[in-house]
Amino acid sequence: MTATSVPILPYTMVVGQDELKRALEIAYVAPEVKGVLATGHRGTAKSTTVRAFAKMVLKDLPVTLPIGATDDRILGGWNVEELLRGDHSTRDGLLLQAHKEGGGLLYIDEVNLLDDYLVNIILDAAAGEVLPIEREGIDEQNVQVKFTLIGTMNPEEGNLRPQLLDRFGLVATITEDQRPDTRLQILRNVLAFDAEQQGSPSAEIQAARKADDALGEKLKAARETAKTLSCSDDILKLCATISWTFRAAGHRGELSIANAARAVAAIDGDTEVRPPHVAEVTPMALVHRRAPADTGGILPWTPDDAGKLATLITAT
Amino acid sequence: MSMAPDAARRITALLRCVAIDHRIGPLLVLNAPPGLLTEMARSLTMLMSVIHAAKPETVIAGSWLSEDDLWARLRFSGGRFRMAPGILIESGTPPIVMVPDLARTGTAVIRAAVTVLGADIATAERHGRSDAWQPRARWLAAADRDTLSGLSPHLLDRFPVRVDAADVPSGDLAVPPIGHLTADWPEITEDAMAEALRTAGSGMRLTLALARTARSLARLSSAFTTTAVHVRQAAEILGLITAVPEPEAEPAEFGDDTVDSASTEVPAAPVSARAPTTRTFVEAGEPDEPVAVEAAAVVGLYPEIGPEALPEITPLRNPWATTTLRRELRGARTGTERTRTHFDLAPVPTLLEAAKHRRGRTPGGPLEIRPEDWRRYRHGWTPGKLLVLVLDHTCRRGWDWIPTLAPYLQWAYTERAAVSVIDLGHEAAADGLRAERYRAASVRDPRILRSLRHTPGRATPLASGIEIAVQELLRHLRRSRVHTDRAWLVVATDGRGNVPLSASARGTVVPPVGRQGIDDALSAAATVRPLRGLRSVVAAPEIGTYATLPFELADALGGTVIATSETR
Repeated sequence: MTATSVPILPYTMVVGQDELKRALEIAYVAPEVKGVLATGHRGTAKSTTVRAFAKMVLKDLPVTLPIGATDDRILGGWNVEELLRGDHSTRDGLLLQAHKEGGGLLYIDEVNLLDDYLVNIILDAAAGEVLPIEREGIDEQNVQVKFTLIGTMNPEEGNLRPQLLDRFGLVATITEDQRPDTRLQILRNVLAFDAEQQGSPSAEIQAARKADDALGEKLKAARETAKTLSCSDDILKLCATISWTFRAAGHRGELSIANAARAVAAIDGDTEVRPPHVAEVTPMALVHRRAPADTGGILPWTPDDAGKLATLITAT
Repeated sequence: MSMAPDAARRITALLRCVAIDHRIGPLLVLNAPPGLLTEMARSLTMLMSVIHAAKPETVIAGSWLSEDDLWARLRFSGGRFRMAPGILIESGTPPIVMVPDLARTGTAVIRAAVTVLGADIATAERHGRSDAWQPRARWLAAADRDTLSGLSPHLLDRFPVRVDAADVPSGDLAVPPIGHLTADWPEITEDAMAEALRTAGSGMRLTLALARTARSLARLSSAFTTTAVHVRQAAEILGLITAVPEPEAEPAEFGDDTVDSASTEVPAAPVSARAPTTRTFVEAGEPDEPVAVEAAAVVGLYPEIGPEALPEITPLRNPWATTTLRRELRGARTGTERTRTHFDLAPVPTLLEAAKHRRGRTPGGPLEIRPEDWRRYRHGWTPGKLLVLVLDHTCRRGWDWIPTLAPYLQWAYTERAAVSVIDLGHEAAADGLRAERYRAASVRDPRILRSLRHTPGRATPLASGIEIAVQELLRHLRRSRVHTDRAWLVVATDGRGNVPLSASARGTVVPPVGRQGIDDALSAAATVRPLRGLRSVVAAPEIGTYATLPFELADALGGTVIATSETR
């Protein structure tokens, strides 16, 4: 079985998850955002949402780094099967696969369970966007690896290492939607999808696949538009002011806000980046940058924070 | 010996449902008698053999398995080595995976369960192999009810379908075979979905498992649609509600495919939607509210959501740091070297070494690996001990803490322990509302002496300091590949934290503060209690007011208090 042939619930049938969906769309339209972390409690369909999104925009599942991966598969190296047969050839690792074949998406499920030495590899590759492969007799310098890191995690299993957390441009905090209507719609959609896998075609699923195609095309166009948009000095100043006001560590906060705001403007069909775009993306861009760097914790975005942000936006 | 009829009926009904729909999820049997899980696997094999063309293989996911066993194995066959798929990789008929004791199984298995169960797709990337598959394996797990509350809630969430087999004396199951199944699955009605939502409570996994079980029951009984009656039958099988026979009820007529054909003592709800039910279903909790799960928790099916649950901290992380790890494996891998034994063999460097000499040894022949090719990993030196020192400088006014702390510093010196120092509440702090941490390779680091002499400041961000200490301990004891077999957490404080955690994080204090700074410190401290290999101590000055606070902190840490009155 190949990843392409695995059926996934259409993206437009994923109920709720508005924040995660928006973050994924932004990261696709503006890859400079660098990545999305979805953090939320168990059973909130984080992985399904990510896979459905990848299937929509890439027509394939994302290159996935499982938590039990070995370093030879992440970095690449000798083709072990061939080596054991007496032949020699090399094989790309997952980082390079994501860059070449995976539309630039690298997905890590349960990212906070990843072993530290694997995290170090990813951090090194993400920092320089270059992967020098110098191992086991292989010498390949300056291999370019650019990827958007998508991670999902359950915070019950511990925080993410601060250095890795910092690499995610946006963080979507997932909460379980307990509204009866939402829960009923989730059940309805999942069972309709089950039925289709069991041989009962569903008009809703077919319609959702068409809607996926349309949304995928729209995001593709927005991705092109985003390349032509830039933030004015006033917007950049606003991003910096917000980041400073919320005591965000480092400068990645304001960069993420600016890039994500540009993506939102492109998705919404605007011709310029405006303060409301900045307001929309700020919580996702800063929510993980305010906690002390030693803990890797994520502070919830409170009504007070929202009020403070609104004041800054209004003052622009 | 035969099984208690009610438990047998529910288990057999579930096996029949799971045999035809893997989406229901794994079955967790609580307090299973010896042999029951094996008997369930045997019955499920029989049921699945009818549905699938080939007989499913049964694999045991035991505590001895490593990640290599699960995902990619090196095998020698036909005169050569080859990489073979691990036991959880599915390529044909989905296997039956037996977990004899969920509480005792290894980290590799529970990490696999979390990533595979309920997933749309699973992937494995190990030792040159790449596999992707749609998980359809049927998992059967057993666990002692008392151990559930100590397991990861994240893991248990993957096991929403549970059966209590406490009253079952042995595992002698009589599972009726599955008769002819129609090609179409019965559509589920809106009423049935509403009933599933009402019955299962808040968790979507349980709701879906309930609805899918109901749909399987409907299909097994050749019903055209899945109705609310099927949902109630499924809920009864899952232990979410109880079925009470009406006094005047006629015995139900059961066809070939009734759920309770194994039972003779307690008639169960009839399965067929065509034959109206003759049972009254009573929820285990109060009526008219979705309290079934909460009620079930009371009776022990879901103890992990109860207030008494104290799961082990980060249980799904690979336990690199355990006392069973051999000394030779300590420390990060820094390269490879020649070896004369198979211990810690580095397979790829070994193969590469052999491949280099292949043409000279066996031109055109198979790859030959000789003892001179063997390579093992070289590991760097690492400390095996750790001292985490939290210094609350605001408590030091008039108190000389050196004599109290000296034994721990001496221990760190003699044991060559790594030292992490967390300073809080001193005048020179970059941010008075936050604690600061630095790591020292040994206690001889001159920064430690400077820390011991800081001038006290005004704010006491004790909660921030404890939180950083917790992360430091987790890093060493749970996340690191470095082996740390003994750690001391020494907190020098009077316990009077006056900066809440949120204020430390946000950099501003929003009054009123009250006890929040103290309570946050106690909450953070409580998370280290389950850590193995950790000893905690609170060193406190003897003071009259608030004298109980150090004891509260020590209680939260699971440690002791040393109160002294040394003055400068």
